[in-house]
Amino acid sequence: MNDYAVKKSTILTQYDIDNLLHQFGGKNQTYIEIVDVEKNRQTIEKYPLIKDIALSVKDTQQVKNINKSTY
Amino acid sequence: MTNKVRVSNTERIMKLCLGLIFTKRIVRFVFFKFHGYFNQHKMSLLGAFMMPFIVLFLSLFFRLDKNRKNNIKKTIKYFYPHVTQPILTPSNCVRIVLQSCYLVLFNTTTTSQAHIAQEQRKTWRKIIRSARIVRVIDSKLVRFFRRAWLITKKQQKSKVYQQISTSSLWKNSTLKVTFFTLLIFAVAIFVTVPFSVEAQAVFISLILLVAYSLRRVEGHMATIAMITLSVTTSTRYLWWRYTETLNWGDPLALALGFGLLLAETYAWLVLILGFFQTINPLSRKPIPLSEDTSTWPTVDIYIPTYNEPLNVVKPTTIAAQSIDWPADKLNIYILDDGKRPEFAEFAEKIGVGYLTRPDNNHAKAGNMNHAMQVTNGQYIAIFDCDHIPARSFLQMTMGQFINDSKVCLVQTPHHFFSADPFERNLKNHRKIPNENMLFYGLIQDGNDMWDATFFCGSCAVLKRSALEEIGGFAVETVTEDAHTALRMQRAGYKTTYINIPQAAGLATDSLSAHVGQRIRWARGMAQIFRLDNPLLGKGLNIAQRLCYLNAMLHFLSGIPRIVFLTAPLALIYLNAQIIYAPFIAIFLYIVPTLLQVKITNSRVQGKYRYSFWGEVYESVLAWYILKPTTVALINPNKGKFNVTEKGGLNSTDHYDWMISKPYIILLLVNVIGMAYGIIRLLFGDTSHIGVLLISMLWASYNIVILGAAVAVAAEAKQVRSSHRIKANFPAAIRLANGRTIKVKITDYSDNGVGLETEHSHLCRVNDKVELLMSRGFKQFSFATYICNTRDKQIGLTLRDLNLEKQKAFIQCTFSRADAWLDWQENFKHDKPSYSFSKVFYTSLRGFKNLIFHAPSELRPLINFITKVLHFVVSLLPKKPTKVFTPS
Amino acid sequence: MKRVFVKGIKGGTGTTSVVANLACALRKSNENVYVIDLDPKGDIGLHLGLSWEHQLGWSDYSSFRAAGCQFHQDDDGIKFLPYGSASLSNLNFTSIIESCEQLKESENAWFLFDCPAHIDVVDYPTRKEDIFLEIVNCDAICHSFIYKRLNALKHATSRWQHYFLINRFNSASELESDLLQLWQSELPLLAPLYINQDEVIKEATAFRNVAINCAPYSVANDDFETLAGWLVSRASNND
Repeated sequence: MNDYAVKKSTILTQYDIDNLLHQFGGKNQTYIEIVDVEKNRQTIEKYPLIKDIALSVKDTQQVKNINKSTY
Repeated sequence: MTNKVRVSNTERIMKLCLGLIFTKRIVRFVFFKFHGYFNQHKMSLLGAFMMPFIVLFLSLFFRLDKNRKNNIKKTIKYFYPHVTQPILTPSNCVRIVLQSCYLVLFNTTTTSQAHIAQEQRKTWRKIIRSARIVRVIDSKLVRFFRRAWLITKKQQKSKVYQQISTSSLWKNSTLKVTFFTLLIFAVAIFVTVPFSVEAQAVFISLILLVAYSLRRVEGHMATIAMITLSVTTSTRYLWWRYTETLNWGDPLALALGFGLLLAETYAWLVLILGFFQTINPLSRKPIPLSEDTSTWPTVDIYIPTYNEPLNVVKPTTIAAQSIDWPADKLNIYILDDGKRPEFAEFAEKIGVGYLTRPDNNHAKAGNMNHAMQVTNGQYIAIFDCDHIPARSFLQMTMGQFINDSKVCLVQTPHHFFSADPFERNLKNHRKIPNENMLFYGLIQDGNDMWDATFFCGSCAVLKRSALEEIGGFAVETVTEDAHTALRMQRAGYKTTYINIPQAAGLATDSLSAHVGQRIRWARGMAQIFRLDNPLLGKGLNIAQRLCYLNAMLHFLSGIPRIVFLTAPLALIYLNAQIIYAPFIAIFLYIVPTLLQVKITNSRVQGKYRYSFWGEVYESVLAWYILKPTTVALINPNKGKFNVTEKGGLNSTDHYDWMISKPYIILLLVNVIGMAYGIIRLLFGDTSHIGVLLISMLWASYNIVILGAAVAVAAEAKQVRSSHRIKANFPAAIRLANGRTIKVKITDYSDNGVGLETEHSHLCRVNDKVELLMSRGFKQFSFATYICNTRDKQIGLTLRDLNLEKQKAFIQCTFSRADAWLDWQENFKHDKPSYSFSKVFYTSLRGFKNLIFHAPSELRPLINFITKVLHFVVSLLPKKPTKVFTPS
Repeated sequence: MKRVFVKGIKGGTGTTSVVANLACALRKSNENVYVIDLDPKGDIGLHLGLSWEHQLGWSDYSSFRAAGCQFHQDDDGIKFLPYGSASLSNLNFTSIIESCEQLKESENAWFLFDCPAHIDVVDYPTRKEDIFLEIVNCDAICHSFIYKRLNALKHATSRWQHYFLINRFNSASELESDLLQLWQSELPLLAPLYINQDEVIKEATAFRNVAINCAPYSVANDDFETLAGWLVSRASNND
């Protein structure tokens, strides 16, 4: 297993995202569309690989026991 | 056989007799001719017998060979083209006499025909040229006046003007009071000073000249100036009517005249209040919300329903779900008073709330009050179950609440994507602004200026705390919406209006349902006036009271409208001088005032209501709102809530006789009046001709309006059960071979799409194609089948969409943010003459409809009348036609 | 000069066809367009009408100046430099990228670099105003690569404009539309447009052409025009 510090480096915080947008994204667009949070959560839940990645990039301490899903 | 034998016996006797005088050859000729005339030309026995002798006699003077005879026949046929074959009938005699007189008295020779045509062309050219000159002069004048106005405006901007306008002098209250007193005094003098006929002529022509010059000058100041002039002339007119035109000598004329005068006073009041209401429409713009969605308030969406089918409620609910608002702050509830299990199931399936209540007290208002008790959003958005909201609805409206905490209501227009009964039956959908348009396009914006926006029951957001303060939705009247808004305004809250269509629905689908809805509104307004009179009570300012008064008066239009539709008949039938004044005075007061008011109204309302259509709409409703308003004014608690029925289908063309009965009667009375008027013109007292003519002119105008009103009653067939909505936005289709073509959506309905490709396509009916439509950055794909194709057009049907896809489809079509934005831009500014011609043709169609749809008992009568008319027309002399020239 | 690097986040995302069509779309709006093939597979020439036997490219020359003779021009006026057969190895891709400035009329020209997927983003000599398009498909593998890339970019020292561009999007696929929605709402640096899947792109190469020329009414045409327009606006943002 990776140690905590290295694992931590995969997390994308809001600060990171803002930074990324600033560093690589040029100007941000003004249009804001309402995010269907529920639908996105369902999508993440639905696909194990996506869920895996989502868990890694979010700053949450959850036990990862998924390697291969039966889905 | 015996008959023939007997005939031949008489013949034999006749032959013997004739043989005594003539030679055998002549006898044979006579009998040959006799048989010809009798059998082939169907002449009478005597005629057929006499004709050969006439021919013989004439042959003593003329040489009649075959050519000559043909030529004479042709000539006679030429001069008497309409004389029918058995010549010697009474009708033909009349024809021959009339035609002979005509031929003798009028020049009908064909040689001069070319000359006449040339003359006609010349005159026509002259007319066109003078019309053009008039137009040129008109445009020159308009330009001149416009420039003159601009000059005065520029001067206003000079420094001296600024100094004057900013000086403290204007803030002096005594000065203000004196100024207003002087103004009122001046107006009073203007209105009340009696003029001689000549003075009136000069006065009115001056005013008309100014109004004319201002007509095309842009800018709000010019409108206000025109309004001021209209107010002055119409007030002056009314003053004149009250002081000089009542016939105190004749009690009948006095009574009738006073009735007309009251109706005119009503019209005047509505006019003045209308001007006041719309003098400065506030076109409120949406206020953007902060970018941080976590600060946005929570909103409950109520969709009250009672007996509407699920397929009406479904799109609304789905569209409500896809409104752009954070999901945790948006709760949708179907408030089902019908308590139907399939609705509960549907709500469960798509994940919205479903509320019912044990009783059904107070209909819609009670339903929503009950919902308020079990929900807790900070704001409440209400959609009638057939109003499909656009996704941007809340973001367009909510800014008003955030901006001003006193705002308790944001109303948006009710837009209908299907044609209302007027539009459908008159076939002018999207061509002429409908009845709604004036209210939502202009009046509500005008009301907003005075903080008096009405709540219209749907497509609106309300503030819960304000509602709770006044004890929920008002339940005392059948129009809970208007009453609720009134109460909130009394409590010191502000109501606002945003004139951006953010929802669209089905219009009522039959005239009777439409009338029923208006009856409810009329009754409700009358109830409000009895139970919670906006003119009295505290909390409202004078402007709000006046706006409410105007709304109320609008629904009292029944009696005055019927008075106007029958008033000219008083003089025609009863010879009652209801306007007791000399012809020239009537002419000088009425015509210019009407002209002035029409021009001003056309300018103010131009884009939202075309001239004369208001009269048509009002006339249809007049009879029906008359009774409920009167009843409600006397006893406000009578009458129950009736639900407006929508989403039905007329399987065939039919004529709604029940609803047009009062108008047919009015029409008959007017038509007979016109006929009687013509008789009176010909044989009556010559001293009355002037007023009689004016009355008849008025009556014929009424006939035109009534004709248009009966035209509405011919219910047109509704072909589709789902309405096609015109659209124009890009999409794409992916064909079975994987190629993707971009297309333009031209129309859509809830189960199909019409589209146009950019070049001719090779698609065939029943091909399966994938339709790609986007909503914002999202793209959705739908499996569709081609149901019809034409050159560049393709019609697609969507079959068996699952719920998810239905949702996506509604998001891509009905609930697009820009779906309804172009509704007001479709109409050009009103042109009164054009508008009148439209009303006139509609009216003609009304008469045609009446005859076409007449019940079978009346058929023989109509046939008889048609035949008589046809016969009479056939008697009239005809001009010899130029088919050939006699040699 | 406006430099656009186009690179697949993994192999087989359709990078070369994006480059070819994008070049054509830019050329259609009268831009001066250079396409430089940095991919040893060297197939951009086939998209732009180069004959199949043609072997030579910049990797067969000893200097950029010498390789200048390998600039070809297609029917639309796009100038392109193929990779070649790598017979000499004294030129590497960084020097080619940097040498492009020596071309005349290069100030306002567009330089599109068809980059191989196996060379890491940070290895390119990118500048602040450069645009780096990373081509992705709507699938889970790309999803994982994107997050890897984001993490890598987090530690990058230099800066440029970096975007993920979705290619071959098929909204009929449930996974793809799910992922698109997720990306659109959660993914930073996602280009606000995507290229739809279209058979025409495939067919066009068989006809020795690009989709933009073959099917003017196709969605592909629209998508590439939009992409070109968006890039123009991005590039002018720098000035």
